[in-house]
Amino acid sequence: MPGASGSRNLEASPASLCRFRRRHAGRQEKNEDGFARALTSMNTRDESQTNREEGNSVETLRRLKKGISGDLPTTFQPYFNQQVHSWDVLFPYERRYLLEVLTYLDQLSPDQRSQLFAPIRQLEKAMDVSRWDFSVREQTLEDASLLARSPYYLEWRREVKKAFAEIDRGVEEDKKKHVARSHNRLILMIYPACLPFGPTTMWKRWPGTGKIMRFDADVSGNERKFVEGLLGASGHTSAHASGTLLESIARRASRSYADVWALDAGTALSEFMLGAGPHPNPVPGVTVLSFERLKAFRGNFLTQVNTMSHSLSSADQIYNEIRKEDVSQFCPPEIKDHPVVREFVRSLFMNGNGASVSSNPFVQWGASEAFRRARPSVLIGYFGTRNKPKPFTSVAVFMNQNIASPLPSVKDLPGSAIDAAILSYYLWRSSTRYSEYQNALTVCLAESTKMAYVVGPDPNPLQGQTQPLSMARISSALSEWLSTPA
Amino acid sequence: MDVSKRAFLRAAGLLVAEEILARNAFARKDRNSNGPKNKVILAVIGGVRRQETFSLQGFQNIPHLAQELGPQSLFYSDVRNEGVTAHFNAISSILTGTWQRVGDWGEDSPTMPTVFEYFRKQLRLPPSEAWIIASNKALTDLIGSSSSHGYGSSYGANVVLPKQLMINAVVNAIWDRKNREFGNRKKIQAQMEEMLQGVNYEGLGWNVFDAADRLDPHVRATIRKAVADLVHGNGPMTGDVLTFFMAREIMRKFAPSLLMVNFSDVEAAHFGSYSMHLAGIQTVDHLCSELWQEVKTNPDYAGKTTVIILPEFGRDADGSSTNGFFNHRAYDASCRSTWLMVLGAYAGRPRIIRRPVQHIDVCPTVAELLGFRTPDARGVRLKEFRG
Repeated sequence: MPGASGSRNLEASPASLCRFRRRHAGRQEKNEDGFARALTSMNTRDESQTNREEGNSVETLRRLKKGISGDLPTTFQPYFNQQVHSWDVLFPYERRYLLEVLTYLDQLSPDQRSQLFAPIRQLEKAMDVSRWDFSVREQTLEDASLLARSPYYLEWRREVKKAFAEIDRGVEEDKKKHVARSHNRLILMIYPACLPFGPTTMWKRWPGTGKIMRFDADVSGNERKFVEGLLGASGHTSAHASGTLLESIARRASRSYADVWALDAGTALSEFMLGAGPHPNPVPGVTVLSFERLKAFRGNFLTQVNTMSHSLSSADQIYNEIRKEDVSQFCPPEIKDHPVVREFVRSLFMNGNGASVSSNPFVQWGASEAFRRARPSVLIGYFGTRNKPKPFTSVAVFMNQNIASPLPSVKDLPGSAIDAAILSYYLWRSSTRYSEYQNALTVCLAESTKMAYVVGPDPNPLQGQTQPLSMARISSALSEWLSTPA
Repeated sequence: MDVSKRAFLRAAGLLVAEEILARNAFARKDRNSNGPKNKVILAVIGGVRRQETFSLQGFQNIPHLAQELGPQSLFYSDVRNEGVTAHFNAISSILTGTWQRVGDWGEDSPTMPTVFEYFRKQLRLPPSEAWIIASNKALTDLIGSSSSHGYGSSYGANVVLPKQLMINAVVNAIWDRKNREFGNRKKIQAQMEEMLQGVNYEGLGWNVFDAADRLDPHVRATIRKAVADLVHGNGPMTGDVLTFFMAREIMRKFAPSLLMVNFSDVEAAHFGSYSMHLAGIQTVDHLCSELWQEVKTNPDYAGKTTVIILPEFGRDADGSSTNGFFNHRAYDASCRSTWLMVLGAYAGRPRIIRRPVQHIDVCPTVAELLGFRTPDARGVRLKEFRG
């Protein structure tokens, strides 16, 4: 979809501002509204306190935004306006980022702000942005399209990147401290037994620094048992003091709803985490998103998308309506009353990339967005299958194939395996964009081959294993990893 | 491909061809009169990366292009799209010889004259000499001519979007409240028939001799039978296959001297399925071979036709923030750099040209082959074309 991710043009890594502030300290006027002090104290308080404070800061945030909006280039305004407007449904990480950036900009003198944005303003002038029908209220497809087809687009992108790099340089020291204080991170990907992989070709895209490892999992393709075995919920005890992987995950999840994510193509992982189906005990605090459990949400979304006519303005109009719609009735219980996650899902579908039409892209794109927006310390992705396109009706991609054709659905297992192989690689690559994941151990387990691929810092508890590992041993090792300070 | 599907696709081609023939007798009359001696077919493929096509790991996806056609071709290995890497703009740029920056969704015509307009205006040729048969949903009938002063639709190409016929039929069937609960293929069949009975070319985004009338009864009966066979069959079928069959029917009935065929099955990549993207590449690889076979065996084309095959652009690199193969908006080398293959009359001796060339060079090169000028094009003629 053209320009669907235009928002990311303005994304940069999260800001912190020390170095830049120091550089400009002599020139900038002191901001005395107390907001910066509140910001400084944020990291030292517990999350609920912080959330309350952030909630109370909305007005301050708006004032801050208002104070600098006159100095912001036109093409920056939709991003900031939309973020401020969406404050209530931003993840803690995003709130911190927004506050840091706005505070930083607020602390600059008008001259300094002007200097920072001068190249972008010049490009806007060259692009004749003032004559465009450009929405500053929110990011639109029309805006993204106007920018993308300008001859100055590449230059504009370069200058935007430079502006954010300037900000990021300032925050790097704070960021390093934050990362250093954090625990190890874990990215776990599971390919169920039904996905046929070639043991020699499956990892061909991955870096040579990763290691192939064998494991034992005699669960005969039973997805539920595999998840139980891996997470350590099948009765075994851990040899390590940290306990099972499940126990470590539960500890992480209790810190923040945004810290542990489970993205599931089907239901095996999600039902386990939610304590649904055959599983008696939920794992509280885990953000669980299941493609299958979001069926009604997806169905409603696609129905609306299908009303779109062939124009950007129509697309923007439909997207506006989708943004405003109360989707609670289409949500599974785990996200129905959780506005931040609910809006995450809505945004995920609106950003395209196949998340609303196919399960494996849902897992991959969902994870990429979770990394970008929430920086979870544990993310588990469970890949699955898609059906073969049905004859004739497959041309209408956004249509429900089950409605469009009465022919029985047939799973495309080889195709799904090809998709999962590259998408899991993409998932990992997206984590590597963020410094927080320097301490991440990535483990991919393919049940059909009883092989795993491990990428991560050395040393790690799975390093140097030559014999096939039992599921209990893997569970224990990963728990140990999560319990070790980085 | 089973018989029923073949019958449908052939008939779908007739949907255009026979109907127009019945009401535009001049079309066939003109076939052997004032047209140029040479013919050019442009086969433009959606976004494909080098790594999935002309690379060591990509050859397996393109056996026909790499092993059958490549060795007899003039092959440009470094072709760059330096414009907007979106479908409508990419194709507009190829057709106009200028980097176009119009709306992404085909809401504006190209701003400079297209190769079709130069061709028809300077050589005083009828509409039957210039056709676009396209799969991509981002294209509209506006791709056939420009908004440039002195040119425009009077000199443009006929535009046929076969895939849109299929999409509209399916979408209408599902949205039709009467048919909402349809549980068998007869409902789809009914929907298709309903569309075909009252077919409105413009409603499908088509622009064919300004026609928007009803189908000839004989053609309609043929289509009806084909649709019945199709909807009760169970074989694979894609928009590109339909596009190819439609293009072939146009070649057989009208023998246009300038034809662009656009294939877009590869765009399944936007929905995150790498395997379906690869399947799209394999389909278009096969169809390019079929197209070449048609050129070699069709007496109107054999020995005097140059076929030019090129992708619109690449796709984004693995690891890009734009989600790799899904999209084509990173504007990096993976997205911009592609290739071009020339077969037939003006390909000359087989060879590989490694110097960089641009998409906008295609328009003036085609003009040279067909004997007209492109004064507003900014590309340069590719001198390796013989002639």
